[in-house]
Amino acid sequence: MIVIDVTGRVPIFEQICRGICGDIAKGILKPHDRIPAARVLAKDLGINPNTVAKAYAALERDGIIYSLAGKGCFVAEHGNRADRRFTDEFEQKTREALHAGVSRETLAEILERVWTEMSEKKEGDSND
Amino acid sequence: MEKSMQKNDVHPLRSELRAHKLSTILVLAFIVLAAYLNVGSRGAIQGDPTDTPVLYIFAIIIVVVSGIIVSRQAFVDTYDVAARDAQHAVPVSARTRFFAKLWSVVLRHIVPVVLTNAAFIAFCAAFKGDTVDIEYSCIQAATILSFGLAADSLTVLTMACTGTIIGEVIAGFAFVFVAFNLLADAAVMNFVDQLFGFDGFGEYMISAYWCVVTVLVFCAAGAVYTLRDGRHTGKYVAGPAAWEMLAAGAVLLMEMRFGYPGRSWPAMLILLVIFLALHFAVFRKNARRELPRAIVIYAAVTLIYIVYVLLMYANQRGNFFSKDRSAVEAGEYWIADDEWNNNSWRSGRKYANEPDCELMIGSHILKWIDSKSSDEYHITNKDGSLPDEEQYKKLVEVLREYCSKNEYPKDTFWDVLGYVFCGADSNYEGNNFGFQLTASFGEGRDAHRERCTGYIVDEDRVPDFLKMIEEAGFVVQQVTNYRR
Amino acid sequence: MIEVNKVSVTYTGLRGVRIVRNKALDDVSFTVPEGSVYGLLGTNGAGKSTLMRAMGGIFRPDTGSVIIDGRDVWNNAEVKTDICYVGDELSWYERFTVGELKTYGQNCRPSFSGEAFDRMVKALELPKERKISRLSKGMRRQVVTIFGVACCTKYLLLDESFDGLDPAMRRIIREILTDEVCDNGSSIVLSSHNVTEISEACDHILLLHGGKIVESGEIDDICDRYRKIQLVGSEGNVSREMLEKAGIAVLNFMGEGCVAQAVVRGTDEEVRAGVSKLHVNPVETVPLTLEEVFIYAMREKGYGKINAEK
Repeated sequence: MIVIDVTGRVPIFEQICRGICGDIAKGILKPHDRIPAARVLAKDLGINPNTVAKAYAALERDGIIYSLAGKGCFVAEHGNRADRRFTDEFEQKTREALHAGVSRETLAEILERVWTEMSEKKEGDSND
Repeated sequence: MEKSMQKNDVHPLRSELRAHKLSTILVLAFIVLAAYLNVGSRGAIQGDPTDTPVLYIFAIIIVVVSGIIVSRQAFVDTYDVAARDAQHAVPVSARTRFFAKLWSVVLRHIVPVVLTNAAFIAFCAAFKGDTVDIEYSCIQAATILSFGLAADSLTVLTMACTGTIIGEVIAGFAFVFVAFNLLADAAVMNFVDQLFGFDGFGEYMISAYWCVVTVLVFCAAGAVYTLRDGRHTGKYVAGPAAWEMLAAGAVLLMEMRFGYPGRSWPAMLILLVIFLALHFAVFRKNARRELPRAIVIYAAVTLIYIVYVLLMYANQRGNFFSKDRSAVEAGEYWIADDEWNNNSWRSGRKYANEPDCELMIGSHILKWIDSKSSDEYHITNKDGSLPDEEQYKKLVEVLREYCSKNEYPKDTFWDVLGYVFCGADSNYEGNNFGFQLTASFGEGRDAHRERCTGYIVDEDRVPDFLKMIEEAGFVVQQVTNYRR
Repeated sequence: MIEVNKVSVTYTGLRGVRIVRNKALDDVSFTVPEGSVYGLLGTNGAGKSTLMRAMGGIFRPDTGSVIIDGRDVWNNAEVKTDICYVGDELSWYERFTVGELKTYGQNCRPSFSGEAFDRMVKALELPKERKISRLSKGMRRQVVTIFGVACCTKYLLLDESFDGLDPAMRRIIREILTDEVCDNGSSIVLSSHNVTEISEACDHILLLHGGKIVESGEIDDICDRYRKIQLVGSEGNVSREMLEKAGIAVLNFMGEGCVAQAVVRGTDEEVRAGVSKLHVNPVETVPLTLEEVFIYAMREKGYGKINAEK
């Protein structure tokens, strides 16, 4: 879900990018899924269409989406490229946590747990 | 977006007209009423020939007021910010916009005035010709139209120049000026007659004069309007200077109207008071500085008026004469005051050496009236018959020769001022004679007189003068004796 | 593309007989790119309306010029066919009914689309036969705004178009404007003093104060030019003068002792470079929100200062 906070500090186009990357990462958007046209998304979110276009351009530059003339924009085979935004955030959160006194073991334990959960879920999905 | 727009796809006039639908209808109703009053005032339309000329005044008032209203509405962008935003954004040049607004004034005011008057007059001519004075109604209609045009043009000019509520004040001032125009148009008639020397058309001349003034004023208004910037909405284009010039110009014109030989000073005083009052109303806060300045401006304007008066009363030789229409020259006669049926609403002048003038001096009674005592002297041939053309020419020659040998009294600059402003006596009326040669023609309804004013003769030289005429072969008889 | 080159506009007024001059715009230069939604943001009386009128060819600049698609706009009917200016004063339009306004538009402009006007009127459920003066304030503004949009011009200048509209209506107008930009390639210039509105609707802005430009450009770039930083002094107190000596322009400083927060002008790299010379621990910096830029940049100009700073 793309949630925009106009009064926040993160640039709007960045928020759009994160939202789309988030959807891709969560599996809501799969490769070759069509994403809304810039105009439509702008109207849905109530923001400037050029800002949306800027976000799409950034995503396309990063190889996360691709566009076909006359047809629209689609999610690319993402490989590892969607991840970069999250790795940056993850790194920053890790630093904060460690700084605040959270132990390394707690962090590693959280990582293991989440990984196991998601793997089991994936297997469950593919079994159905 | 299509870049190739046809110019005729934009209809600035239509958009102007669309903006004023209700007021157009109201104004039209009033104009119809004015036309009715015009025609009805000189012979009621019902067929009862009662004469109520005062209704004509109401017609003028209606036309002038509706003209001011229509003009103010058309040029709303000079004082209203919202209108300016809307209208200046429309893709037309300032010049096109001006003409569109001008056309809307014409269509909403001028055309209705013309058409309604024409309709009423035509109706009366067709059905009530014998009870309604058609010609006079036409003349009145022309006058009403000229008033309407003057009101429109002056209002548009003040809107273009000032664009504020002050415009209302000046427009009102202009209206007063226009309203009194007809009553004292001596200056215009004088000037035009001196210029062209032809038999004036009476009221038609005034209408024509005002039409020319109107066109000039519209041109000036157009020039000022296109100078305007959106920022000038509600403001003067050129600062207080423009307002001052307008007010000063209006004062000058008023002085020309109200100034009357011998009686100017009360009019000037009243004008001064009005002028100062207007300045006080406008410049309330700075009155102490402004009023002295206003007096200075008034004095300057009056000075211009004095120059104008002197030009009116001077002749080519640089001398001044304080007799209205009496540019007396040695060797030149002219005939003035063509009186028709004892009403002199038609006047003109001819020079005695003009061909048709001599024709008019056919068979008539030639008399000489002593202008001081109004004693009448008849000039006839020795055998008692009236002088014919040849003999009249001879008389004129004699007189001419006499005058070229003798000095006649002149008025100086100060004499003229004294006469014009204070009604002081001119030197003509002092110790010497002026005389008039009067020729009368026709009888009854066609009777009219032609008068020649001129030649000043010293009182003590009168007997010699009379003797000279007798020696030329004429007989002079004193018919009346009012003197002593 | 609209190029505003060194435009200055001075109002001349009369107070009694003395002439009073008020410089409304002072040497303003910027460019409105094609297909953008450009916001004019400023304090009250900053000159936004004056600037829009100069761009619309209604005011003539005292110096400089406004060039639209290569042509000067003042008193140029040809260029004005590509521009539609909608002012903030609406009283002129109040004499029309909604239907009459459409005919008025058709008489005014060759590019006016009656069909687009009808469509938008219907979409907003505005009563067609009612006089505009009888509509509510928000509806009046809506009608005039869609009148402007229906002119279908390449450039649309809207002065305070969102004033008095509720959030739902603002959203609809924004959607209409989005359609204009995307379908017709129009460029739109909006003016407002509401930062949120501008942030939502615009991609570029101009920040005006006292007739002068404070900031101009893309919103994200502008916000990136300012930082809010937190400083923890490793050797004693942190003071404003320290920062200023390091060559950092400080707009606001708040802090006691070793811990301080400051609003400074500079990009992330510049600020870090400057701060690295000082004896402070690694610094945290964030960009400002547009609202903060508005407030602090204005305060620097002397606007909106209530508390004296330490």
